[in-house]
Amino acid sequence: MYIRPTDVRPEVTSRRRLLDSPRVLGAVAVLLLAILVGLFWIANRSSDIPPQLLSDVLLYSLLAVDLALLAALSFVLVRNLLKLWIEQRTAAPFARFRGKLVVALLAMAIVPAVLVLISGSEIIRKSAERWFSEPVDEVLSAGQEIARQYYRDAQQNTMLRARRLARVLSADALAAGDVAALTPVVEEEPRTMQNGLVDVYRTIAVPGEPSDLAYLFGVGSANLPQDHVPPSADRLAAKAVASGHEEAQQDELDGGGVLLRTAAPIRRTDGGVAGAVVVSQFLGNEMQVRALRATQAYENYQGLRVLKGPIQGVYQSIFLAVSLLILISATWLGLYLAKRITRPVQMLAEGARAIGAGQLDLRLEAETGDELGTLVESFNMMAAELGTSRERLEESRRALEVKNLEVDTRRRYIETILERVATGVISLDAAGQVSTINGAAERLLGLDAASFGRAAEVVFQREDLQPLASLIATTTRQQASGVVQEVTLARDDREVHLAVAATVLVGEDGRHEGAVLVFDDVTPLIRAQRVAAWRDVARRLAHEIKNPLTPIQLSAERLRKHFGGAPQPTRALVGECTDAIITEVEALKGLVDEFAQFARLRGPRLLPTDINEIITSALQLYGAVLQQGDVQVDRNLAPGLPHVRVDAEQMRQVIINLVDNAVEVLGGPTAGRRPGGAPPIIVVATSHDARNGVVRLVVTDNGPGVSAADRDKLFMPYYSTKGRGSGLGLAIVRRIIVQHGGGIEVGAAQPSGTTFTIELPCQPS
Amino acid sequence: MTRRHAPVLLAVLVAVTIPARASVGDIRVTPIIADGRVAASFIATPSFGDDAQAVVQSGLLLTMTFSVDLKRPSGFWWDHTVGSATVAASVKFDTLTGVYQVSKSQDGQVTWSERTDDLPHAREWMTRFDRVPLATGDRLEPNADYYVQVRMRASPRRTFSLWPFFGADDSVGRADFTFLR
Repeated sequence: MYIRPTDVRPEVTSRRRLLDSPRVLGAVAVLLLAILVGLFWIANRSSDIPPQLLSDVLLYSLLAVDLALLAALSFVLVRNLLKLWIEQRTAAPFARFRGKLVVALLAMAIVPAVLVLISGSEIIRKSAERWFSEPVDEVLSAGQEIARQYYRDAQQNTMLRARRLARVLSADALAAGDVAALTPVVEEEPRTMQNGLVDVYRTIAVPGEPSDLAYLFGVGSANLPQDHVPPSADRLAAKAVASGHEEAQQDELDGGGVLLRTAAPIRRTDGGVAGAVVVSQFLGNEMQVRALRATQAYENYQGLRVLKGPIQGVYQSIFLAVSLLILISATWLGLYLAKRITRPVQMLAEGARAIGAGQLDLRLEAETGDELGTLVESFNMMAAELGTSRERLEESRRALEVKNLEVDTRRRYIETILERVATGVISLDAAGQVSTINGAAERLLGLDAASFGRAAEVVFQREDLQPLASLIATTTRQQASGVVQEVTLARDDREVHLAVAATVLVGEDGRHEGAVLVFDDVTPLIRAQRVAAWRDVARRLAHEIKNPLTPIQLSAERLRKHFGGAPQPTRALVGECTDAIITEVEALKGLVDEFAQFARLRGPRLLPTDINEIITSALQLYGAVLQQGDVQVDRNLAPGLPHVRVDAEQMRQVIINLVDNAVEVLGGPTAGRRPGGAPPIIVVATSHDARNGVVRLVVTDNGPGVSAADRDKLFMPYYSTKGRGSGLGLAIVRRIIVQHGGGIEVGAAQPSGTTFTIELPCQPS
Repeated sequence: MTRRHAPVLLAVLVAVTIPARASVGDIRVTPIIADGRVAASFIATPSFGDDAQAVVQSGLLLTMTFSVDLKRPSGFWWDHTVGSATVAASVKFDTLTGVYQVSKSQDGQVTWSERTDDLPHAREWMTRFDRVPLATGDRLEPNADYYVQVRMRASPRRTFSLWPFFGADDSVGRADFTFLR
């Protein structure tokens, strides 16, 4: 693979296969060429190679070379075919195209080479058979036979002469060493031989030891070559003496030519050996050379014929080696060409695949300067531009992520605000489905999180929410930009006053995109407004009514005093009337005082206080009062309550008002058991709600209870279910609690009765 | 061992060891233990066949190289070589005079040379070797099995095998014996 991604900066891949290096290719080519030249040299010099070297070394060396080349060819073929097979199995790009190309190139290389190999081997075999044809064999054999016969005749001639001289030479003269007597017998022989030499030896007997052989004399032809001394014939003569019969040998002369020699023993009459005669025939250099040449030609021919198999094997091995070299070169070249053609395309395909997988820093190496190289360069430029584009895109994505994060943070911030604000917010999308609803809206309207995503008609189809549904319908229908309306909902048998602002959302293109409802609970505000109004009324009543009461009372007392001396009936009538006037005036004064107290209720003086102590102190007042009846006041005070910042006097009044109210509800201090037989019980309990940071004070009675419709009115001034009293007790309680930053709620007790729950904020620790 | 006891011991050893086992193969091998030395004589007449005769008659120098090894057989490993020698016989036929020049050498040194015009004589000289020394007797363990192996390789060859390292020997002979003392 010629693809390499880079981590830091794009680089052109530089990894090359070993066989792609020009140096390696050159070295391989030189090596193959050297082997080829060596093979041709061996083929040319094969005739000069000794037979032993040829049959024992050269032949097996060539066989080893053939096997090595065959192994190399097999390796190249098997390796590349296996690679092709694997590439096709793995569906590599252009594997099929490359396979077809390789097969075609291999067929173009292998088929002709195999045909040439077969035909060449057959030609070598036929040629080798023709070398040893019958006519050549006959000619060489005839020449050899002529030379051999010439030698044989010359040797026979010397043998005959030696045998004849041995017979005619006198053993006695020989024993006596009479050279003069012997010379005439032998001196004619060299002349008749033309190039002849006769040497005579005699034995010398030594008593007790083997006889010795001594050279006596020699006679030679005049035309014998004088520049070279013929070798001694002593050994040949001794051999003939020892064996007792003729011995022959050839002695080559240094100056050329050869002496054909035969030694014959000279016997005495008693059969003993008296000496030996050696006859030598000189064959001249020219004759010898011709004979040797004929013999050499014959031996060469016979040597070739005998070693025909190994020689033929050598030539066939050389031819096989050359063919294998060509085959290897052609095969490798074919594979190389196929690779050179398909590799750039394959690189581009794999590069495109890698870039498609996101590897944009990939670069390809342009191995050639042709059109494929230009294509690779264009591919690299495209990859670079894609990389740049991706970097820009990545930057944009990162900026967008930052923006999204900011938007998300802002959205969560707004959602948090929406969740925490007391204002209810509901948004509807263009399809009229609820797309936003915050916690305040859920709490104020009694909805849950399931409302999200539902149609507004469904969400607001509840009867108590019909005013809101109507408002939404009206706003949507009129496409009003903003409608503000106060809506009163009946929730849990009490009225909830909402200030609702409905706004239609219109996009920049003027398209309707939904609506938003924003509403606030203004019930406490309205209630406060009512209380303020009542306080103003109370103040006016206290001022306008209390002022005339004293003159009225004084006038009534004056009338009674004036008519004190009147007759009894008159006096009685006056007394009765003035008493009634004075009594009612006193009642009116009390009433006016309560109004004045309600109107002039001072602000609390807050101090850290244990609420349990206040409760205990207040409830001690009822110890003696409630002894006459069955009313019980139980305390369930939680120990260890945190202190609360309250005005102890006002809180004491709160507790007394609530307990008084409960006692009244139960029938007064002397009330007996409840209709069911249960004793009238008032329970005052405290608890600590650490999670909300409040101390909770609960006053519960088991009286008849208050209807749900009247519960919200209990805290209104001058509202009383008892039909007596001023109706300011619970109003004062609520006002004190509100001034302390707390809250009071009224509810039903189980199985009967009423529960007042006061929550006061704890003192911060 | 004294000089007086030597002939007796030699006679005992020869009598015990020589008839040990017959030789096998084309080369007839006879182990000899004498004078405290282990030697081998062998005759390889069948090795001088038609191919060798054709080579000789063509005038080429024929060399028959004999590798003689004294080995101790091993059941599960290569046999241990106790001693070895390499002898060779060469013959050159003078096609002009019809004379065979035969020479013998041992470990590269020519030890014998002779001429004859008789081919059977030349063949016998080429294929017969007497008392080729292999090792001294003290290198052999008593009552142990040994064998002498003779491998002959002729050069030049008229035929060739596919691979020179397998079946390279033209003739082989072997004789097993037990070294008793």
